[in-house]
Amino acid sequence: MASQRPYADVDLHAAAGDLPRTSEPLDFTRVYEAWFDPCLRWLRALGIPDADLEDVGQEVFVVVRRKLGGFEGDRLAPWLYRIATRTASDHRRRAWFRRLWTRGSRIDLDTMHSHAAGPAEALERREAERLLDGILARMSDKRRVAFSLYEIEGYSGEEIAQLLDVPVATVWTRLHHARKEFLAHVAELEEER
Amino acid sequence: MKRLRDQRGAADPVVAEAARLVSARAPLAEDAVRRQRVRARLRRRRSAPRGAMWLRAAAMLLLVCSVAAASAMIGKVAQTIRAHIEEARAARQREHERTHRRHAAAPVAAPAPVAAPAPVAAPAPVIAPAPVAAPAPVAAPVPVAAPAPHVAPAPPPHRAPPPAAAPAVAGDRESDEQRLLTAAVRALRHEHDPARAEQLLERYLDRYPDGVAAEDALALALEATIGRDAPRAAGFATRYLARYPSGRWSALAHRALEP
Repeated sequence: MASQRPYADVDLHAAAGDLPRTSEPLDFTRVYEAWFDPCLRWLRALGIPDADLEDVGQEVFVVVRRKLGGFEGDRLAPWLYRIATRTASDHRRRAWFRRLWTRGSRIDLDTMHSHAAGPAEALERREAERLLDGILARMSDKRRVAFSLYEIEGYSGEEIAQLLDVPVATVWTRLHHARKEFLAHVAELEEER
Repeated sequence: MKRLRDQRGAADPVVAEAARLVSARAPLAEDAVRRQRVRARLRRRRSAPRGAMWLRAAAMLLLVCSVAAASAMIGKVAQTIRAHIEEARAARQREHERTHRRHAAAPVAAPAPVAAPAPVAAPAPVIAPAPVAAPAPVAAPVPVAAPAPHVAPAPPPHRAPPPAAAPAVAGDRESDEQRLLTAAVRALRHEHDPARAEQLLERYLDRYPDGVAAEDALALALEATIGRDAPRAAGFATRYLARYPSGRWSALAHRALEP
């Protein structure tokens, strides 16, 4: 499956390949080392800004450390994803209350990291990221997650299905509708220009 | 399904623009430094004192209790203020009624020439005599025997009316009884003129020794004289106790007879 990925340099679940699939107690350090980076990608797909990824990731693994002893089963990824979903939801709620006091979003264009070479390209990339965030924010959670994981993070449909614990056909349906919605929003933007 | 980021050169400008936007965000790369940093924070967090959660819960409880206490205090203060306002309003109302009554009574009860201070030592009867509660319409004094068909009779008292009198005469008599008692109470309580009150009550007792309010009239006369004219008070007390040995105001009469 790894050879089918267009972004082979991004190691998704490979790190977790050597984790035991038995019901023996899992070692937190190994789980952390294997799943921390994928977890941050999920959080990004769930709408957490890059500036908050570390903090929210830490919260996720605080919960994981507390609950790992009670984990029974062989599908660790969906279990971790559910924890990440709830933590992201809590974070969004807290951020909403925080915005009531600060009267603004914590997302700052200047804090967004960029891999652009020159200033003009960096500016263009930041503007594109701003538009992308705006469009993604208008999509439903399910569509946004499927779209982000597939289009941005480079997950395959099967991997997303495994992660979300849904049939693959459901993932393709969500992706189809998400892309349609995304293109519609882009078309609106094009008309406005 | 072909990914959007692979369609940057698409003929459709919307698809091309969508591909450009999606390409602007690179997949999140692995970062060992970040991973170790968060791991270190997790370790520090584990070494945090275990009582932190309990401390937080206790602080929350304290906060809730403080808010509840503050709310209760505010409610109490508001209630007190409201009670004060109500009291002031009732006092104003009483004062207004008193003034109104004084104005209305002016033609009936001529003020006594000398208003002696009323040193009432004994406690006043708590319940005013029954006829006083419903004062009769104030009119010119009507002779007892004269028929007065235009004056509406006052509401009948609770006690049985005198059986011998004709209806019209009985009505006049009740009206006169009420007028005398009302004027006496007004003189005693509002105008602080016990001498005039005593005079009116004596007149009442002379005219209606077996009147419906004779007991109350005796008690009021006792109240009007007690502390002012001890022999007369003793006389009223003796009369009262002779007629009503276990009457409502017998305690007052006994007190008046004490040396």
